Amino acid sequence: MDMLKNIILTAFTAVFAENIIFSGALGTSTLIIVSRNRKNLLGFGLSVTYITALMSVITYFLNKALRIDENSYIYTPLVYIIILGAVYILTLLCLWRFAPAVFRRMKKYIHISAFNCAVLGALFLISERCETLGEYFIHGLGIGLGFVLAVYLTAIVYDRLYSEKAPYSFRGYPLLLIYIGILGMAFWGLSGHTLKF
Amino acid sequence: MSNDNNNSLKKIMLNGLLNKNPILVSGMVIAPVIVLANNFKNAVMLVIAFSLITFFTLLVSSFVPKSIVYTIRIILYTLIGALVYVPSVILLNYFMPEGVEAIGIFFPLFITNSFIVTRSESIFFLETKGKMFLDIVFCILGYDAAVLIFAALREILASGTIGGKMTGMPASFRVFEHPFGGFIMLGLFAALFRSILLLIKRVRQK
Amino acid sequence: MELKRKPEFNVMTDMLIVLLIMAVVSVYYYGMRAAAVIIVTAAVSVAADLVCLKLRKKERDRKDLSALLTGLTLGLMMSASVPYLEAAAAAIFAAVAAKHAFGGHGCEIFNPAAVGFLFASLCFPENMLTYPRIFTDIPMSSVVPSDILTQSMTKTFLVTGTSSVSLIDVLVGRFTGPMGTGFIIVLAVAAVFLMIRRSISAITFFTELAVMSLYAFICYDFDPMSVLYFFAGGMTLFGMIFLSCDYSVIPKTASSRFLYGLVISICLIVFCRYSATENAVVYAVIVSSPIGIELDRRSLSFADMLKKRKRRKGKGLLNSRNKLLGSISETLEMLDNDDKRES
Repeated sequence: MDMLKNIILTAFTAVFAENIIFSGALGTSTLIIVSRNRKNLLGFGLSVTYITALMSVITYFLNKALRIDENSYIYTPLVYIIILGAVYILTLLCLWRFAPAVFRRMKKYIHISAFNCAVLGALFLISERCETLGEYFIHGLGIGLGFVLAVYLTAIVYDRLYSEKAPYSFRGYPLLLIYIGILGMAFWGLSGHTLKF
Repeated sequence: MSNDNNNSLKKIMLNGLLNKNPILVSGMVIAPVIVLANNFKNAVMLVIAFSLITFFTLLVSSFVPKSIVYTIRIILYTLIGALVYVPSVILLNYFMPEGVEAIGIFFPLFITNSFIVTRSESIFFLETKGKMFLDIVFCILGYDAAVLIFAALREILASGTIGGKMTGMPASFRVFEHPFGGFIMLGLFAALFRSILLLIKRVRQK
Repeated sequence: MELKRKPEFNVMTDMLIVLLIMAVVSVYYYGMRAAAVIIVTAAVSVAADLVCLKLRKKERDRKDLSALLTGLTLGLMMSASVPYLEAAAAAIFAAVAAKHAFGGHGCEIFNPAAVGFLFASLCFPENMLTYPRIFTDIPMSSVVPSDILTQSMTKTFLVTGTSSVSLIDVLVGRFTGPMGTGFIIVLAVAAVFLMIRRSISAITFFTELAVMSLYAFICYDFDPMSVLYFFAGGMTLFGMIFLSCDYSVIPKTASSRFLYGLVISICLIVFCRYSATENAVVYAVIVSSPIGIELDRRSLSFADMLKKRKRRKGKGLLNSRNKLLGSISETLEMLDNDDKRES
């Protein structure tokens, strides 16, 4: 029971209270690109959640090795990037070999979901916050889902943000930032607290 | 011929600084600005780190041949970024260790910034290395200037100080210290910038 | 099946009447300081609206009272002791960032008053979330001495789980809190009045009321007093009427209004459970506004989907799930038809 509570709490915190966009702003540039098309959402969401979850587990073992060296912060990003690149290529190869139909459909989402601030930032955040393997995994999964949530919330009002009715100087990008900011204000109400059961 | 050259030079300059300002118009690399640029001191550090990493990464990236597959190319850019990060972090840690600590995880995150990917891809469309070089420099300068002005304004609004000194503002809006306040403020700032550009355009047409 | 609406001007005048009554009550409880705060928010809201319209080079619509309504709602949600400058800042933020940036009246995504209030309460929590006691003499100066200020009844209730406010006092709003949002009898009458005049959405209101009461009863061990505290404190009932059922942001079809009410109540419950924040309703309304837009887009297809499903499976095994789906779809259909007939 206690474990279940912990899992729900960790996941909830990662998805809502410490949402990677609303409170961390990581990957906002990617969000701007992806939220343009509502049809891509599912494919993109799946691949970004997959990458963060998988990478967070790998990061757990990497960090164990890296933390021995005091100066490891100098080359930690390099190691992360190499592993991320390897995972990315392996995923593409696996998909291409075993599910070519899926590969053709997912190809364009995978690169945008693998190499962005959100994924790399998630790895750094998780390394700061988590201790056990379970926490790493759930947090990784939660961050991925939280990112998808943010993209979804932006995509559903995309036509309003870019509509002719909005004044020219606000239309589009500035309005999108204000929109995310207002939602972030509301989500802020959740942070710094603990869930009661 | 020289007139033509001058014109395109001016165009590159204006594009980087104003019309295609990375942060105010295109929305690239905004995460560190939103989270960290809530005071002038952090902003200076941010600008230094960004300029160092982006400039050298792009410089090296321009030698990556176009014939490589897109997938591999993207990985190569980020790899170059991660390699450039190593000397930069050693250098900055030597000169200003507190600054590096203040920007925390956003320093390594400059490696995967969207600016590097889009710029290094667009380099293929510019004819000469010289023009490419200028384009990069002015884009980075545009970014730096925008971030510094934005951070100064944000610090005045959020805490009523500038560089830690009081300015005598009647009220301070603490919302702007937080990331969501950063989003709202950057949105307002970008809108203001856009309307100023529009105004300039109109005045010129007259 | 878009519902035809009552002329907007009539809706606005109805709202205006109710808000003015609430304002009179708050002036009775808190004296002239309350009147000053409400006048400041209303005046600044209207002025900011005019300036924004001027900057956008738009004509002012004489029948558009939305700015005044926003200002009044915002004023009623404030503490009676809030500094004038901070009240004005909230009104300006509401007009600029929540209303005119999105294209002015009719294009808002969020309720401007909710956004303005949230902005101010995050900017100046120590002034916005401390309240003077009822019937105390509040000085008219902008900054009020802090010794007459206490935390709200809601905050005490959230922290300790109980409150010493008596039944009568809860019903007539005689407890410390935002100045115009506690008088639960007037609010209930106002809600009925507005629903009969079709100025707020009855579907959304009753959905919210049902889900929240259920939650409150279960959560507080079926203690009716606690349920009253829950609705009176933290602006819950006020927020339900003026922030969530307000026609500026609400979806347009009956079924989506039902779902919208459901979403708001779920968000409110999550905010109540997860964080000890007062005024959870404001957060819940803001978070669910974009979902309301999405529901609007999908509402028709949702009702159709249920219908199709019923038809496809209707002839075969009629298990309980299908029956349930069928009854939901029939109810939704009925509601939609009702609204069509009325319009």
